[in-house]
Amino acid sequence: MTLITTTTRVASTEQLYGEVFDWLVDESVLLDRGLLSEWLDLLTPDATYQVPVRDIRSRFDTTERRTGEYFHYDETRSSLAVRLRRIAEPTAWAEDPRSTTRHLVSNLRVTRLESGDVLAESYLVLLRHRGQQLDYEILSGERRDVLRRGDDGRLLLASRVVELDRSSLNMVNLAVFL
Amino acid sequence: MEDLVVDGEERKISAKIMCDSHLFALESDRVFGHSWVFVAHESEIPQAGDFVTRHIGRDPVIVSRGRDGQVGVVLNSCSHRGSQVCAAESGNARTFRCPYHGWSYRGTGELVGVPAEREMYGRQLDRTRLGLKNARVGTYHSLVFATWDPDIPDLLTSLGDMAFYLDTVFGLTDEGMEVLGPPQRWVVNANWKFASDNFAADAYHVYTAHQSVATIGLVRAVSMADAQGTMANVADVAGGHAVGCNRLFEPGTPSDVALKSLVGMFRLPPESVAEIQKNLMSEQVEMLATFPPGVGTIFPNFSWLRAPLPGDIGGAPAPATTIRIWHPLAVDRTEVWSWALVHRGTSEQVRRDAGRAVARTFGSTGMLEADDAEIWTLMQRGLSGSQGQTRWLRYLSRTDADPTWPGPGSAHTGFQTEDNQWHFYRRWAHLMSSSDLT
Repeated sequence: MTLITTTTRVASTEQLYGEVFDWLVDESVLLDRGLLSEWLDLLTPDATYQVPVRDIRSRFDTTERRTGEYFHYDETRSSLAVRLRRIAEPTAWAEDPRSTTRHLVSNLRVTRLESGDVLAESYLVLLRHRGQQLDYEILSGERRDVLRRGDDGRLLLASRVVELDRSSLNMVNLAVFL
Repeated sequence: MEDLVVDGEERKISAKIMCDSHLFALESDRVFGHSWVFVAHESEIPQAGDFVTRHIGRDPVIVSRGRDGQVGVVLNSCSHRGSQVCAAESGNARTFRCPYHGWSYRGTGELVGVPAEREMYGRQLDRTRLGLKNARVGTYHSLVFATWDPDIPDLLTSLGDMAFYLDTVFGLTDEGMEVLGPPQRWVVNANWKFASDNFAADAYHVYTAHQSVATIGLVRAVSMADAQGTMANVADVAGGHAVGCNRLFEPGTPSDVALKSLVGMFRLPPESVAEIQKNLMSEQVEMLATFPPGVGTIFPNFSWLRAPLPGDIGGAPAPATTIRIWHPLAVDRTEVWSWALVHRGTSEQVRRDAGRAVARTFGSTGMLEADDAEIWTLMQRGLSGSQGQTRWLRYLSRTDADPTWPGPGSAHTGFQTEDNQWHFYRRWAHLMSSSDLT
């Protein structure tokens, strides 16, 4: 992941920064309250959503990393809509009872892109709790979001890549969205 | 172990084999120490020096490709004081150096460096005795298995009746298959055998556990009545391996028409038909054209699934092939390792579609498998209490083997049976009983 050092960085004192942060906070509310169709409306029609699989190598291994072609999520808006339809079914056992989640977003860095889109890089900590289990499931990572203004001026998610910190997820499944 | 896996009018297995940590500790040696255990796909380590770190049972191993191109599997534990000599999950290395005192080894296990050897030991150590512990390695269609047992039959013999079926999945084309990058991994709080059992062709659960994907129209809903006659469960009785086959074509479809259609579903080029006919025996081609093998378990903890699956509602099916390790972490805790495979030479578009089709159906976020994993944890919790452990898992359905089945193994055709899974547990009981209780 490249550190953004160009002059297009948006300072936290700028209005755009606050707008992006509010967007992320509002998105978390939708995810955590299970308002998934409203969440889907935050995506552009051609949005992409990816959570790559990672593996952990030695710091000194200079050989080329294999290109990741396999993901936990490799989705389009329409495939996400399919997943949402399924979760709404009474026989979608994995999410009944629904996981309680907290999508905690912080360390936001905002950059204006030449295309006019906005790059929003942030840290994500997901706390997830399932039904009768005693422990929390915790997942952390970094989101790289591209936000784009819709016709009405609202910010929409055009693409998201979530780089997870672990290769092995300490979870029964990843039946929730990041 | 006869009292845990009980034959008779009612076939049943004790809940203890899923919940008892003493049995789990025994399994680690008796089952995983004396079986061929899947560790890697050869395409994960294409170049000399490439390695991945895996497990045989609970023992960490390094799987690497040597300078001679051969795949070696060694215990990831220094011969001096036992530290793991490799902490990465994958990479490329000439040698593995223990971080404690610096002893170094090749991927073959050969000890090649001991710092201050003369000063410390006053002589050159006998390096032939001090290598990393080697496992026996066997490969079949690029699937790499390893075992610590010097005496069990070779891999092909141990695969028994299943080699025939593995050919029809992994051995279709000259170039074979490759993985799409590193595996998904996630942890399910349930015993590993629930998963092996499920992939030993439990088609019965599909109607309830996976009802949601049929209701939304992602996969075609077939009533249980209509499914009669469309399933074949085949067991390698001695080995405890299993495969499930599903009829994809109407009876009477000419074999060449069916094969052509199948090649289309797997998005292989049309010339693959001739390649498949060349690489497979006619009985295997016939099976692909009638009941293509779709899911299976190689005892103890390797499973696979291959099916044309849609990545989207109404979308064209993509060739979804996934392979699995159900890695035992504890009696009630299993790490799942899941790869997506494609035929080598497949176009970028098909690779993409195949990876997506696998991930959207099976795997950490899979719309089918997410529910399986949830249910296995419910089973674990249901059985783990003191009353739960007095209870039995029941494998009541049994049918006579179909003498007309064209392939090897004990085949049960019609609807789902529980014979496959029963033989899996018989194999488990056999291995658990076969060593001295010391």
